[in-house]
Amino acid sequence: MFIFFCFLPLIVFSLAFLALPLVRLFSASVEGELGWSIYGEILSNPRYMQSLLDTVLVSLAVTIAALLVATTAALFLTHNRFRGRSLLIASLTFPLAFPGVVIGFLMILLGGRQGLVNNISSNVFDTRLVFAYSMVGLFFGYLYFSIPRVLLTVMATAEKLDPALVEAARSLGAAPLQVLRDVTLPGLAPALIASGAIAFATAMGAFGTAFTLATDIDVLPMVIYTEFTLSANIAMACALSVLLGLVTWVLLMFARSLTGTSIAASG
Amino acid sequence: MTGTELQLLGCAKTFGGKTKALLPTDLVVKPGEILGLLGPSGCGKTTMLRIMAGLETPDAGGKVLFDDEDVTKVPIEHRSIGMVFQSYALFPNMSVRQNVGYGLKVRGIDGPERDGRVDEVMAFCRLEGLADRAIDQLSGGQRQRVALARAVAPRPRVLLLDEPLSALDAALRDTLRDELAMILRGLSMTAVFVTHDQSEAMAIADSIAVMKAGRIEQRAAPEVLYRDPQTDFVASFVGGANRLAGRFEDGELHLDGGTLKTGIEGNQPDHIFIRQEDIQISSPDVSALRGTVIGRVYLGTHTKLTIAGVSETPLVVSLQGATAPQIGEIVGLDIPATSLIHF
Amino acid sequence: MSRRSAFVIQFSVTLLACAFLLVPAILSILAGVTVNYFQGIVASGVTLKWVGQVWELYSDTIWRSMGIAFGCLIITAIIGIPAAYGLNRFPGRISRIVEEFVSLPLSIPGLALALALLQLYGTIKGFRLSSWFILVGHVLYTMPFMIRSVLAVFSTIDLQSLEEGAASLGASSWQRFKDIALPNAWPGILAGALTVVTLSIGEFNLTWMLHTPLTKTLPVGLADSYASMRLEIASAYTLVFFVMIVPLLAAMLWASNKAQSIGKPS
Repeated sequence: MFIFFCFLPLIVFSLAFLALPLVRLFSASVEGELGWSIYGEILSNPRYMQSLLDTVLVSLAVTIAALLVATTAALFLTHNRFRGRSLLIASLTFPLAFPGVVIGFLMILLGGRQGLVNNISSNVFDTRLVFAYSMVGLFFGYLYFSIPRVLLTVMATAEKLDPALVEAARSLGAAPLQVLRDVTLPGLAPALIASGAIAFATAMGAFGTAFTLATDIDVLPMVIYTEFTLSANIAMACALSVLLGLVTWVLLMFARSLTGTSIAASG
Repeated sequence: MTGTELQLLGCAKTFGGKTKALLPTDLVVKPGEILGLLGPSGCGKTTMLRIMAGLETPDAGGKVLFDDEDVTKVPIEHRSIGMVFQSYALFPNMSVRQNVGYGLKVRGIDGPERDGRVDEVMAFCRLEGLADRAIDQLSGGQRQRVALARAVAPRPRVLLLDEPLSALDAALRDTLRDELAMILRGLSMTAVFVTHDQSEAMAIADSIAVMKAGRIEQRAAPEVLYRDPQTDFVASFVGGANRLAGRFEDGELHLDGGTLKTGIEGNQPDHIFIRQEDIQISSPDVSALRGTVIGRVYLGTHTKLTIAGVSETPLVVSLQGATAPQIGEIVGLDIPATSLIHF
Repeated sequence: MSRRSAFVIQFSVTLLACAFLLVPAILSILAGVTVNYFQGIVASGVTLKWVGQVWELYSDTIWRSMGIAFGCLIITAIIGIPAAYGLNRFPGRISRIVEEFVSLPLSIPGLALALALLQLYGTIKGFRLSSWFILVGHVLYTMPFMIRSVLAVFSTIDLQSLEEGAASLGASSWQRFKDIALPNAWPGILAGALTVVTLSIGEFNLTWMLHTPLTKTLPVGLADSYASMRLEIASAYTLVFFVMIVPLLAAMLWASNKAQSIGKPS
C-alpha cells in the first residue's frame, strides 16, 4: 500500500506528460492529408532518407571517434599519476553539460570564417580553412560534447578494474597490445557500450549545434524543425519525429542487448 | 525457563514455482531454548529462519506459532522478534545508541524509559563507552554486539540470528563465539541461530537441527548428535567421521586394507563410520588393517594424518600426543568395535 | 609496440583532446572581455562592458533558468525519490517496465518529446505560454537522472538488509522510509539534485521548441544572441553561462564520486 503511494506521483506524471503526448504525437502524424501513407511518403522521399542516413552516419562516426579518443585518454589518466593530472581531467570534463548551441558557437570560434584555424592557416600557409558550417563542423561539435561523457564513464570503470588482472597477464608474458586486447578492453566493454550508446543517442537528437552552425545542414532534427516552423507541415514533423525516436530507440536497445547478459547476471 | 515457545507446522518453501528450498517441516523450540540450525549452504536453514522471522511466508498449509498464537500472516514488523543479520544491517545514519534504541523508538517508548533500557542492554552486551560512536568507527566484534543489543532491546518474544559470526575474522571468531554463547545464555530468551560451522553450533546451542537439502536430518543436543548420529550425513558433517565401505561377512567388514571386526550381528550395513580420534596407529605387522600415510599436518595439540589404501576414500586420523608416523610409512590401524557408528 | 611508444601515443592523444576542448572555450572567454575581437585583445584592450550589456539585455533569462532549475529539482525530488524507493523495494518485471518507460526521454530526442508535448497541450494557452510548460519538459528529461542516482545509492548501501533490520525492530513502511531509506540516500539525492539542476540550466533541445518570446531561458537567449548580436556580446553571454554552469558541474562530479564511494574505506 505504501509502495503504491511511492509510485503514484511518478505514474501520474509519466502518463500525463510522457505516455499521452507520445500517443498524441503518433496520432498527429497520421492526421494530415496523407493519412497513414505519410510513412510511405517518408520512406520513398530521397531527401528524408538521405538526411536519416546522414544523421545515423555522423552519429556513428562521432561515437567511434569519441570512444577512441576518450578511452585512450581515460586509460592514460587511470594508469599514470603525475602533477597536473587532475587539471587534465578537469579540462577533459568541463563541457559535460554544455548545450548544443554553445558548442556550435565554440566550433565557429574554432573553425569559422573568423575562426582560429582559418586565421592561422591564412597567415601562415596563405590558404583559407573553414570547416564549421558543414557536416565536418557538426562532427567536431558532437565530438566536443561526447568526449567528456565517454571519458567519465570509462574512467570510472577503469579505476574499478582489478590491477592484478593486468599484472597477471603480464606475468604470463602478454605484450602491452595483447594486454589491452585480452584484458583491459573486455573489462571495459560494458562501459564502452553504455557510453557509446549515450554518445550516439545524444548525437542523433542533437539540434542546437546544427542550429547554430548553419540552417542548411540536413540532419534529421534540423529537417523536423524546418518542416514544423517554416513549412508548418505539422503531420510531417510529427511523423519524422516518430521515425527519429524509433530509430534511436531501436539502435540503443540493440546496443543494450550486447551487454544484456552481463547486466542481467549482476542484477 | 521464560520465553515464548516457537513452533513450525508443515512449513515448506518453494521459490519461483519449482526450487524447493524447504520441504514440509515441523519444529518446536521450547521456551528459553537456544536452537542451532546447522547445515551446508543451500540446505534451507536461512529460509527456515526467515520464515520464523516473517521475512518469507511458508507455502500454503504451513503455520508458524508463537506460544499458541498463529503468526503465519503477521508481517515481521508486528511479530515482535529480534533479528541479528549476517551483515548486521546496522543503520549507518545513526549512532550506536540510536541503533540500539530504534526498536523502542518505533514503539513510541521515549525519554528516560528508553534511555534506561538502552543503557541496560548496552551494559549487558559490553558496549559501555561506545554509545555515541558512529557505526563505521566500530570493530567487527563491536558491530556484532551492537546488532545483538539492538535486537534484544525491545524485549522480543524470539531472537533470531543469521550466521552471526560469519562476518568476522577467523582469529576473532573463536573468542566472540564463546562470548556470544554467554550473552545468549544470560538472556534466557528463545533463540534460533543459523550456522554452517559445527563447532559454532556446538558451542552456542542447547539443541542442534542438522539440515540437508531442505529437510532436518536430525535434531538433538550437541553431545547426542556427536555420539549418536542417526544418518550418514550427520555422521560425516558433524565431527567429520570417516566412511568405511566394503563387504560384510559374519560380523567382519572386508576392506581394501584388510578386515575389521565389527561385532555387528543380524542386519549388516554395507558401510560404517568411525570418528577421526577413535582410530589408533599401531605396527602394520600386528594389525589386521593397514594403510599408507599420504598426508601429515601437525596442528600442535594433535596431528592430522591422511591414510590411503584402507577404504575407497582416504581415511583421516586425528592423533594426540605421541609422535606420528611420516608420509610414505605403512601403518597398522586399530579400530575398537565399540566406537563404530552404524545405522 | 613498446611500452614507451604506447605511453607517448596515449599522452599525445590526451593532450590533443585537452587542447581541442580547452582552446575554443578560452577563445570564447577572451572574446567576451575584449573591446574589439577583430583587432585582438592586445590591440584593443580588456573590458567588462559586454558583460554589462548582457546583464541588461538578458538578465531575465538567467533568473528564469535558475527558477526553472530549482522548480525542476523540487519536482524531481518529490516524484523521483519515492519512486526510486519503490523500484528498489519491489524489484520485478513491473518495476523494470516502469523504470524503462520513464527513462525513454534519454533515448528519444528532445525535439520529438517537445513536439509531442506541443501537440497535446499546445492549445491550453495559459499553460503553453507560461514557464510551467518548459518546466514540465525539463522534469521529463531530468527525472531519470534523479531516479537512477538514488537507486544506485540504495543498492550500494544494501537497503534490502537495512529495511529488514528496521522491520525486525517493528518499524512500519513509512518509518522505514523516513528513518532508514531517506537519511542513507542523501549522497545519491545530492548527486541527483546537482545533475538535475545542471542539466536543466543547460537544456536546449526541448526548451527551444517549448519557449515563447516571453519565456526565454539562458540557452535560448544564447542561441538568440549567436544569431543576432555582435560576437563580443555573444561571447560575454557565453562567459556568464560558463560561470554559472562550471561550478555546478564540478559540484555534480564531486557529489557523484562521493555517492559512488560509499561503504569503501577512504
